[in-house]
Amino acid sequence: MTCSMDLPAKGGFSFDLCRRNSMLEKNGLKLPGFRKTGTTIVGLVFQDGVVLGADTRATEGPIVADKNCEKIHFMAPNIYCCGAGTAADTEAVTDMVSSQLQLHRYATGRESRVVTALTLLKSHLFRYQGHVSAALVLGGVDCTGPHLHTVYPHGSTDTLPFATMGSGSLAAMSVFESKYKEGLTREEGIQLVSEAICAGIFNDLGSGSNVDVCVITKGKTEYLRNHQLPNPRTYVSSKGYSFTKGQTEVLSAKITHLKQKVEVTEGGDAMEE
Amino acid sequence: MSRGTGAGYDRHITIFSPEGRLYQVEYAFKAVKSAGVTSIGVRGADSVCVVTQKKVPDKLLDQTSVTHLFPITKYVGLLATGLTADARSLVSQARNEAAEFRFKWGYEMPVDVLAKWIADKAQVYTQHAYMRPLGVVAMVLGYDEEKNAQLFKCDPAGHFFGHKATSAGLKEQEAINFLEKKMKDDPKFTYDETVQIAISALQSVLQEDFKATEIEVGVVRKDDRVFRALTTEEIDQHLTAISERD
Repeated sequence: MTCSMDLPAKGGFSFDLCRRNSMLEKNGLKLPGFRKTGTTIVGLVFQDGVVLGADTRATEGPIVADKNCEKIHFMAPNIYCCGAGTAADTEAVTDMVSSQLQLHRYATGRESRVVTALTLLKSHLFRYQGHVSAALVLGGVDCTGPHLHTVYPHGSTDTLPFATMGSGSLAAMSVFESKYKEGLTREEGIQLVSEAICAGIFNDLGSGSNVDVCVITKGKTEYLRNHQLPNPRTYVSSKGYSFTKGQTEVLSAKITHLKQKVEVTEGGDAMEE
Repeated sequence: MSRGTGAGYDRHITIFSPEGRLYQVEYAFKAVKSAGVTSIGVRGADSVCVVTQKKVPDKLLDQTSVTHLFPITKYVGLLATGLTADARSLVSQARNEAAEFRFKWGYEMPVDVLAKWIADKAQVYTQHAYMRPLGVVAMVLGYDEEKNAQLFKCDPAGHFFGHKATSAGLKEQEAINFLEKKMKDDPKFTYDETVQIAISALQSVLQEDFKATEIEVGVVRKDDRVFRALTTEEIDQHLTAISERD
């Protein structure tokens, strides 16, 4: 007589831990929170082209991993793209599109178009159904004029005269919505972009450090790295941070002798050859 | 016993003769002429026009079903001179390629890029076994927002060049001689002048006057960059203007 065993069910979802999880919650254990990446990226159309802006803080959860990273990525000589979300994702997706644009320029012998970059980005992100975590502000000037687009991780896009993305987007958008107007000059555009990024830097914990700006006009692009430095280091030691050798005091010492455990004996017959 | 220098080298498309010729490609050029049709293309200041004969070999044929003009996209047209069946195959593939280009890159395929694709396809045929070259010379026309009106001619050997004016088919050389005189000082033709030059070139080369139903005219211009064939009434107006001018 054989006894039957309980075999695991095949296929479908497994709900084994549901009761365990609810029991733990009843006993007071809280679910851990999700990691949140933060950034402020913006773009705006002025009378001669496009201005893009970004902050320079990179975070790993609550840790500031980099105080001066670059979030404005090169796409083409006349197109740049700001990335929010997972830093590796934004860099990889803009690198991939940038190389495809270069090959296309070789194949057709003409300047890249912003709509081409937009089409490639949205096709790629949609194919991956939101799992490529890249929220982008894409700007450039081509033979059809200046263009500014936003791209969401799932592949939807907007075309706008001004745009913000990232955790600091609300702070930046408040600046744009109160101050943006059509026909901005270059200086006005840069100033407005800097104000919007500073709003993100000071009002969003995920954004910080400096302001990067990129000004794109027909036939010319200026990348103004660290255009503003609103958070300078306040204290620097006058002596520098070098230390002479021998400054560490020896408090105690302990010597342990290692005993010989292996004896090496010569001899034995040589191998026959 | 000696063999002729050309013997055997036309059995395979991909083998050079001792003189460096691919005979099957040269036969493809002959096939273009054997269709008995002459085509002419003329580019103006901001417009481009192609003209070809419409030979209907049988009275029972419906004239509207005979054509050498094909839209590839809404904005780019193709005039095929030579074997009509080969042309339809080429057109079908070109349409797919242009649609794919627009899907992938986000804007309409430019004329020179399409011409390059057609020429590259023809070149591949000159190096593949078991593939016959297409007996078609294609004129591709359109208006390019970066480069103005464009007219390209692609041949079975894989060449493609932009042209101010050109011809293909049976009386190709006579037409080119005529057009060289007309285009001597690099004139900036208006739209009407462009169309009428092309039609009168065809009349002159074939030494006969046409009825409007005996020719096909395709046009693209800056004001209306959609490629389209002229209607019979429009062709009639141009023919009247030409005869009044002479």
